[in-house]
Amino acid sequence: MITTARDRPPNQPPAAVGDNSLPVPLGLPAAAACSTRRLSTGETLSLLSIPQPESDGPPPIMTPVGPGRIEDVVRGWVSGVPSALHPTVFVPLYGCQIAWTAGRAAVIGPPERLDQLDVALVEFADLEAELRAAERRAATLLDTVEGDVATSLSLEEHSPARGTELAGRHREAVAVGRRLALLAPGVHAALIHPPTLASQLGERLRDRARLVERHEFATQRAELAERVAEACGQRAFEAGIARRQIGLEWAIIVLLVVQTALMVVDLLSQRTTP
Amino acid sequence: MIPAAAPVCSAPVAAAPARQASIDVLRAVAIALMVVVHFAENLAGWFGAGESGFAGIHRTWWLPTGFGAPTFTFLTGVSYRLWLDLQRRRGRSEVAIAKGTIRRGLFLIGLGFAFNVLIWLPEDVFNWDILTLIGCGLLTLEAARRMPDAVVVFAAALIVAVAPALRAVVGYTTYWTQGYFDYEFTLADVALGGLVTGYFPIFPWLAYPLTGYALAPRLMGHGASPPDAVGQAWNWPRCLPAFGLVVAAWLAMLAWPALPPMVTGNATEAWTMFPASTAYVLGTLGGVVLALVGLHRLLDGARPRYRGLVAWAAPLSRHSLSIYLLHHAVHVWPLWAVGMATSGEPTALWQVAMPIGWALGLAAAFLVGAAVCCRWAERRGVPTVESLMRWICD
Repeated sequence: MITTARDRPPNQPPAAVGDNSLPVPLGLPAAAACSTRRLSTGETLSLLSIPQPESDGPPPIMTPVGPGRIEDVVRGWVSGVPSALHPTVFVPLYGCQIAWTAGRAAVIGPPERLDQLDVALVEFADLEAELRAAERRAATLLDTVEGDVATSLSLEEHSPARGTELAGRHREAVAVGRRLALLAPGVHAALIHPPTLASQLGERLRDRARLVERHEFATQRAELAERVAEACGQRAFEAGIARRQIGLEWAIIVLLVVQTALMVVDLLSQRTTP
Repeated sequence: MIPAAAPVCSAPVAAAPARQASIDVLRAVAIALMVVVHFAENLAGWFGAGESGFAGIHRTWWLPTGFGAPTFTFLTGVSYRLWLDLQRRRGRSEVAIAKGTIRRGLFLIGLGFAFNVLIWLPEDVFNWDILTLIGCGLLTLEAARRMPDAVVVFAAALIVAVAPALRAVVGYTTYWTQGYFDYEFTLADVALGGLVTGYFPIFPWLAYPLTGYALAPRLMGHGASPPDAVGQAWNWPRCLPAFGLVVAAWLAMLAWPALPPMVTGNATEAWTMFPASTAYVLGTLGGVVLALVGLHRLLDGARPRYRGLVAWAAPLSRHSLSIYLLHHAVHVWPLWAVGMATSGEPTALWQVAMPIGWALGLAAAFLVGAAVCCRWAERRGVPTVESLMRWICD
């Protein structure tokens, strides 16, 4: 069983495990390091950490202002993940620059802050990955809603496999709802006072990635799927009972027909003189 | 005058996009058996196994003959179930399905009476031949399709169980003279013929289409789709009930002398086709189920096998109704005509027209000719009785 960020006590390290070093993209300082973290959903996060001395000027914004800049290389690397589902999020924070998309993240900042930012990034990526997985499961459930309703209304089609399928869907809807409920504290995490660099990064990433809204939508989908699955299961259960009653009624009718045939044959045999 | 086999309602299966080769082959085997048996019996008076005497009541039937009618009637139920599943998948309304089923049933009943008049002469119009049984079977299946399968099996078991008692009540033997069903043109005799005493009465023959209908999904996989359930069908637990039926038939034959008359129906032999004894019904049902399951396993895989065999069997199966009618016409009508011309009595040459070798040769020639004609008719789109039935009923 995978221990997820939502199941984990708050004083434990991030859910991500593993720290495999990866080749650093070209054009970055020699001190840059790239590693892979395995998230609790099974996905991996490639994390690029680039130490950079703190400057006195205003915090730079990670935008493509010129070729060859470190920020440009980092931006290209983060955005270049083939399976990126979300636009890349850029967060400038107290002289640090953070870029994140699903599967990749990069941090540029003073060396003494990188560890905190890495932890916050992995924590956020873990939360987002879990939410994304729950969104996928809720969307899959929603796709089957209409078919389930149509099937449950069709009393003619009796299939034990179909009943099992409906029951499985109900269990899945409940499981997705439970997962979303467990994710809720992380998504709606209150601000820490006094704020820390990590907490502020987490807050901004949650805001930019619209975790609150996505969590709300996914919850609504899961609730709808659960309601429908429960109603369909109930209907299928009642249909099963009705089917058994109908079977009993048909058996009685068959008995009556055979009894009538016996009486008719007996009556006719008395009227014949073969 | 023993109609030993049944034309099946082959049209429903013909409408399916993917035919089950096993059903085609089994039905073709049954119709071939039927042709051989009818030619041998009606032209040469040969009943096989060195037996003498007439064909009929309380006579141990040689086995191949006895399996023809059960196979056809059982396959009627199987084919109807596959056709029904296909119609439902295609979204055909229940009302349309009901109309189609009832029309086909009535068509076959009407065709059966016409067949009796034209082939067996008007005095045998109510002999309750196999066509009328299949027509009644389709009408019954129209009701049975609304029942759970377990109730259908229960109904079939009940029909088999009460049949001997009914025969004992009506005095079955008094309706049979020299091995033929002999009835008066009275309402009571005609009704009793259809229910109990005719050649193929409802009790117990209706059990075959009902059982075929109820078992079809378990034997063939669901629907008329390509047989995805191949491999599941031939496993021992599924075949156990069929083996159980065969064993029950064997036990019934062993215990026959000790059984009470209400169970045996006063029959002296345990295995008789006319009347269809309980042992006969159980044994043939088990045998047909095992044969179908075996052929399904052998022929209905995703990769076609024995294509040559199937290519010749399928036309025979698709046109089994036509072949059933035609083979009677080609061997019975000349018999009547020559008998009438030579002695003034239509039945003068009945069972004495020729030696058995000639009769078997004619049967083989007819089968070859029928297979060739069926393939030719399909290529040319020549109308057949099956296409007429579809045109009228669908």
